[in-house]
Amino acid sequence: METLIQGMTAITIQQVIMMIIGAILMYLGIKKNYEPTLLVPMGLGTILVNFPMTGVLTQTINGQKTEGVLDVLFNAGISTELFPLLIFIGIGAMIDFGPLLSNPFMLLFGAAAQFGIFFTVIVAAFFGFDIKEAASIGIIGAADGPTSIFVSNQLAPNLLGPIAIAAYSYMALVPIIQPMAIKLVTTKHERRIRMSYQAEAVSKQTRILFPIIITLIAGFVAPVSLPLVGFLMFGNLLRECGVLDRLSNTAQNELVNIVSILLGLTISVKMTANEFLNIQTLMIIAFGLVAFIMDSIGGVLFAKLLNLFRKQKINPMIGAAGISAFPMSSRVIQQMAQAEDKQNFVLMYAVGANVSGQIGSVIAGGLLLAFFS
Amino acid sequence: MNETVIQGFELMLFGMAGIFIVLFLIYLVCIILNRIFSVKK
Repeated sequence: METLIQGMTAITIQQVIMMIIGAILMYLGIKKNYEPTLLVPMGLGTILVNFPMTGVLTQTINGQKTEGVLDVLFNAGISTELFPLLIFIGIGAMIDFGPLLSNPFMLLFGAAAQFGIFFTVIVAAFFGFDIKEAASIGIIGAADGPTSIFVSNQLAPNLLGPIAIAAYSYMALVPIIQPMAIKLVTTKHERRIRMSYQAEAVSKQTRILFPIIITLIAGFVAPVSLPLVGFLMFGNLLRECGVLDRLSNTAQNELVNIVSILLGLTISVKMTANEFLNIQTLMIIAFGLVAFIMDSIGGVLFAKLLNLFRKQKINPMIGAAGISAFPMSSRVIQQMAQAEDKQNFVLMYAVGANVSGQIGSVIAGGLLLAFFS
Repeated sequence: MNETVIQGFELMLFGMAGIFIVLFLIYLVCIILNRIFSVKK
């Protein structure tokens, strides 16, 4: 009888709190549709890892070590960086770089909107995190889950749990965060600026050569970023080469789905009460919000700066689409533009900036790693 | 000022400069590719 109730008597209040957090994550995923592919497995995983003597984690009982399945997956897929990189192949296969290639100017917004990453590094350093931890917190501003996991696992693996949660939660909250941030730094008149769409048709050769050349540039400039850039561009090459449709479809669907299941469950290894319940976690969640807000503001202010020198004005909201949350951010910008002026269509520019943000965030992750290598 | 914060500023300088340089290179690549392989109307 004692053995049967051992689980209940050994549980701590912190573990109960973590289980409630797990339930909230599942609620947000299922009921609110906030990044359900990650939050639902992560929510259940959080409950699984917080039972006393849980079998999903490695336990040593009476001197005998029993491997837990989630620890096995963690060592195989997260410690080795395998899962986030495999997801990158799928993301690459999903992205159409066409709107960017027809308007390459939008690339600059993909750079400007990474400002929040570095701003947050300084804020986190100011609040006492060491520089590697601060960099890991800043990367939440990449607005890209796999990049955040990849970088923080190398620089501050102890913060992986809260960073993953913040990154995915704020990505889901982009429709709330971005309008607020954009309205802070734009006038109604600026949000109503119309942009006539002029785009060149993009040839098949350009689409095929683009991912190959980007990989070469990344390899020469920041070789540490090659796992991120290389896998992303490999996925895109599968999509664009025209002879590997079967592989491209697999990368976009089966591969991403399987790895997302494993990634969500496995990340929860870092969601144990003693690793998660501390003041650092609350600070990370708060700084993540700062990163997202400053990304959007950085992009908008850069667009406004360009407008000082341009005859044909850019709608500054396009700058905010330079974050990597694709395609949600570009949709938000289009909705905001139409809310001000029903005939204002900026979607294709926003998509171009948004796709640039995907490249920009990966490069930012690589540069953070390069700084410490 | 705190040494870590100064490192943070260095990281910001390195990172933002790096991103703009890399993305500007990619911008040039796009322009060149579009020129060489322009779609004939």
